[in-house]
Amino acid sequence: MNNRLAYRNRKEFAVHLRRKGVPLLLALCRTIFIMGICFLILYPILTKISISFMDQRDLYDRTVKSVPKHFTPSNYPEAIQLLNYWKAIGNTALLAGVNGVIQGFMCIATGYGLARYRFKGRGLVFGLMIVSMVIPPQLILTPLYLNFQNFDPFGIISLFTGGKGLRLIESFTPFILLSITATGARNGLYIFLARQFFRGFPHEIDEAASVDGAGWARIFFRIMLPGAASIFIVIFLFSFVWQWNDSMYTFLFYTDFETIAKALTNLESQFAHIQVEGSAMASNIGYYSIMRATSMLLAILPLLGMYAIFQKKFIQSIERIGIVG
Amino acid sequence: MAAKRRLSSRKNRIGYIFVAPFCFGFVFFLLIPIIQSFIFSLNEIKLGQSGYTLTYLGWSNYIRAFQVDPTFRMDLVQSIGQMLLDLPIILFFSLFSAILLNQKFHGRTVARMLFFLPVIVSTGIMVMMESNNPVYSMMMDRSVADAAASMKESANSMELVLSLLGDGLPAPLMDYLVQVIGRLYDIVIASGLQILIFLSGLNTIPPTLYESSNIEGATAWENFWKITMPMVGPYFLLNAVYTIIDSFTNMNNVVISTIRGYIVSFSDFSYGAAISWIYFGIIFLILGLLTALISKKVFYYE
Repeated sequence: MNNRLAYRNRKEFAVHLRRKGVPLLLALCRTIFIMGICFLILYPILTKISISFMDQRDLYDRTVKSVPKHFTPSNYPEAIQLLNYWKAIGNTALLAGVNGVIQGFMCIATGYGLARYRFKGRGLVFGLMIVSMVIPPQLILTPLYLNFQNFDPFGIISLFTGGKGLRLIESFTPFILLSITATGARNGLYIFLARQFFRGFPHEIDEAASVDGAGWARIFFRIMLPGAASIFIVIFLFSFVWQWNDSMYTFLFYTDFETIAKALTNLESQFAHIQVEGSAMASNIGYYSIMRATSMLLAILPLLGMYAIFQKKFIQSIERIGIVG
Repeated sequence: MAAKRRLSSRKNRIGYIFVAPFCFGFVFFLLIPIIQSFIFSLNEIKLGQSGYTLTYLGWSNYIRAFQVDPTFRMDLVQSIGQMLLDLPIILFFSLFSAILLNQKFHGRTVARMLFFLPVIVSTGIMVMMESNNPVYSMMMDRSVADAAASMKESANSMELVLSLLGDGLPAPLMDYLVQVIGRLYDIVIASGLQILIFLSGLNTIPPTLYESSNIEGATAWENFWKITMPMVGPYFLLNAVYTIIDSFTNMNNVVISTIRGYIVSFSDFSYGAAISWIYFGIIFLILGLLTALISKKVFYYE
């Protein structure tokens, strides 16, 4: 009540309440909402962490909820062996890294061309980019596979080899070809992001360089590319993550290449097998359930690490994409 | 003047160098495969040692999809209905989250990092494994099952609360709200990139607009409707398009898994191509309608 007396009249108190109390209440609601969503996002990961340290007995024990009673780290070595983890992540990182760098570079170049040059047919190219965003990969994957199996654009190659195209599958070539032409998965979106970035990039710098006699290549490689480091990180990260978790493209184009997504898929199909075979294998279900949680955790661990390193830069760059002028 | 224009058009021609690889790729790796997949859908395809052979079938694969296949029509309606229900919620949720994350508060960096975590973690195989959980059906992975149960329980109790609060609300709206609450996790996971796009959209708004309107005595509510909404308009369109594509090409989608079954395993490729053409034809139709609808309302600020 003491506080209340400090105001000269009721009206002033009401004004004070509006000015201080309402924002406070809003901030409280905001905090609760954000914490709730964060929990929702983290929950599956936390569950997996807790399961990955459980012994099989804990899974059947109704009194164990999230803290394991028989704490054991031995699931990890086992899952690492099961997935052939080190080889799989090495392979995946190589493929995703090469793809990410090429896609980052090519999407930036395309976005730069679209944003900064007013050539004839720019609208058309922009439209093609939007269309490439909309085309679902499932529709074109098999024709692509058949084309890469017998790569022969316009019959040029068969002129030299005598009637046979090149067999490009079972190698990195399909991935690299798609990346170099900025037509890989979700590349339309990356081009769009790069275009947005360059529309906001100050024009004065390249004008000054142009006055000083720098050619277009010099301007692009010496000024634009270093200036686009932040958008490069965004595109690289998106592309890397997508490739890391992709099983569709790698299954078709490079079947023998062991990736982490493939290892997980194999685990999944083994599991489906056990389910079919029924109760005789019931003891294995607990085992697979633990292995599954542990493997999924192991698979996203490098991504989490990378995200932790890049997150500040990543979020800053995202903010900056939009900034005009 | 004329000389200058010629110079600038020559300079602008350099732009072709930058977009040439993409145009080349578009023709070879997108356009031609699309045409091929259409041709395949009209033929019976046999894979041999060296390439493939085609036998012309006409429209029979398309007729089969609508008249013979017992599940296709149901799956189609289900997945389109689901998407149309999710779309407004995802857009609303991501705009709301972007506005919140754009404010200044303690722990903002951590909150942003966590909100974007699904963009990093939940793609491809991860989403598939998360939802297509065989353990889930076996009720072995108790924690997940428990979570689902408690989620359902809380959805039920929400239903109770809602029915008490919103006595006058029409029943379909109530069902919709309850369903949304039950699917909250899926919606949060699906809106990571949309939040990012909205956030970068919010940053395009020059702060001077807010300053001058505040001086004129506008409230935050008026600012939102008169400045924020018109300015993020183009991003609405982008996000709507992206959300639709994402939900249609998601590996969890019923139709997509059917298509995968036919196409990737090569069991009946031409039928798979036919149903994907039907499916994607419908997507393009929806996208076109939506673009026409939204772009009428959207204001482009250059």
